[in-house]
Amino acid sequence: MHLAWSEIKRNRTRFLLIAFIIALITTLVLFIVALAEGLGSGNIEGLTKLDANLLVFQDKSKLSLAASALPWERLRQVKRVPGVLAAGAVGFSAASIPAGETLSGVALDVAFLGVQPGEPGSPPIVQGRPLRTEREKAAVIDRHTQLRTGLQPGDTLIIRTVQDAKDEYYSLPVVGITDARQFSLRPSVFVPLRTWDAMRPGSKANLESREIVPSFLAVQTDSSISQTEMIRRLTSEVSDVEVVDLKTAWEATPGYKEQQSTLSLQQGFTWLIGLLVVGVFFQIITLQKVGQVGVLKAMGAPAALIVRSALTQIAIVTTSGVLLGALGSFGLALGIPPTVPLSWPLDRLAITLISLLVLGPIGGLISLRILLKVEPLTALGLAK
Amino acid sequence: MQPILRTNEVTKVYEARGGSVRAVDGVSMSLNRGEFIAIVGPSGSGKTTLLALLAGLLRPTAGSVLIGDQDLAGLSEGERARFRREKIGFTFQANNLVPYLTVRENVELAARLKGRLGPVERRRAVELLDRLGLGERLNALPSQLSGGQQQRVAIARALAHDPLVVLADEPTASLDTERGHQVVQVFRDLVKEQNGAGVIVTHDLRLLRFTDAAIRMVDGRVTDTLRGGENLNVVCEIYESMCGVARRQGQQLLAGAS
Repeated sequence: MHLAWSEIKRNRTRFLLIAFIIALITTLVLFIVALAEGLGSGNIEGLTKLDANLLVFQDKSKLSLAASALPWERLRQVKRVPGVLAAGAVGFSAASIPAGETLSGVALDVAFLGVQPGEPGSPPIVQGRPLRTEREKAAVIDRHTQLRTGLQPGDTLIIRTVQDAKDEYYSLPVVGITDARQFSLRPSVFVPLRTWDAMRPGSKANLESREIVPSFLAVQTDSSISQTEMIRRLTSEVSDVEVVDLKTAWEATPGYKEQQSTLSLQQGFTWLIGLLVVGVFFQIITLQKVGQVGVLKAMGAPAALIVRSALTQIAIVTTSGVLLGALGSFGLALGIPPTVPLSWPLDRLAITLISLLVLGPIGGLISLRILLKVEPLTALGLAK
Repeated sequence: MQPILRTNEVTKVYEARGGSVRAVDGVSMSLNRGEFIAIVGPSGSGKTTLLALLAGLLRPTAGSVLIGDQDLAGLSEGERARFRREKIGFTFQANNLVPYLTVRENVELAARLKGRLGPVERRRAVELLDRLGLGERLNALPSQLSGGQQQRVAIARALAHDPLVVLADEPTASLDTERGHQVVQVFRDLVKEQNGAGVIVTHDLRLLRFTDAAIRMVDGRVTDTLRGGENLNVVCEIYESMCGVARRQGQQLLAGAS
């Protein structure tokens, strides 16, 4: 311990350098993890946060929210299946908030959803009040929409959809704010289902149809019956549908899997680079010490002492580096606007930090081996 | 009086590509408490290998080494390390001092290695350094000292834990005559004060002035054992034989050139 500290104190520069490099690697890895989380959740949180456990899509629509379209009758059919506690129809389309209404001065593309108030699919409220009836001319916006527009409950929302190749503008009072619910990184706007039907983009043909055509159904089932069994029942009782659990649905979100695996790859490679850099550094300083270590061993220093001293140094350097990196990331994160998709879930951060702490000792293993193999005879110039 | 250090036909053979090399060939010697001897000889004579055997750093191929009645061959690697840090003091040609420890911390190193650095050990370190004239430089770093001063710190460190035997490998290697002789004198005085035994390996025959006895090695064997007043005469003999060898080699060179 004393030997370890004395050496670091006398050679401050080089140890600070490696701690700094570890700090940089830490910051980089933490940001990649945060980006993966942020982009990931930004992609799928609309689905992950649904108050349902099964989703019903049009068969052969590849679980695409945009492509799936169900005849109204399906809702009735689903509700009749034993084990179904509740089911809500959800309409999904695209819309945008015009440039003049956003804080950035650029038009904001949003996910435009029609829900049945009180049924699965209808979002919970954190500010204001929820949607009450199916025909209400009211909107609930999510946190992200609020961030980009500055809208509060009581304000008016202007929203634009394309209908029959024409831009149509609608204004609705904002009555409530829900938590962050993005769909494929688009913030969301919720309106009652019939209001949605009247406003949604569409071609002339489907605008003239009388029936509401929801995109998918959010279903809550009895938890005492297994999901597999419920899926089987629904698929057999309801025609032309594909029934999946939430996880399958969000994993099918276009680009999600590729995005996550790319980011995981980046994270892994960065960690590996850190490992190599730390390993090389400790190898170099160890090789420089071989003569000295030989003398210590000739004097009778126990191998345990030498290894303990080296491990202590590695631990000190790694821990301070990771700490520095974590603090640096925290500071940087404070300065980044909330619209950037970064998310910092504590459990993933904890695991990441542990993996970085372990990086030091693993990288230093080779140098430990060098130390163990130094022969005391080198002190007398007799080693091979 | 029981000798404190004894070797009995100790031999070290190395297997090399051209055959085997007898680095140390049947050396028997004994040393009593308070004795200070030198091992001299040309390079390659095996004197450093003998030192390594005396320290237990090498296992003999044959024969034995006993220090204070302990046969070193009977000890495991870990036990020999323990023996060295408790019973043997060492100074080396290079890397003697730890560069990032102060003078005083370097002398305390022996105690630290044993895991026991208390007020007694600390005081002893200071006393020794005082005795060696380094009392003013306790907190200096080795890089701030001269070669002679560094060597004296090394001696203090070698003696701090009261070893039975002190071994020194070329203690005057990078020092000029005057400083070198000072260092060896101090070494001898301290060894005798502590009633231990000291062995220095050196190629500098002038140091024989300070030793009680000397053994001369050539090609792994002891050719002469010198005691007391014989030293000066034998030194002359050694130089003469070296001259003889040089003359013959010169003649061969000239014969080959023509």
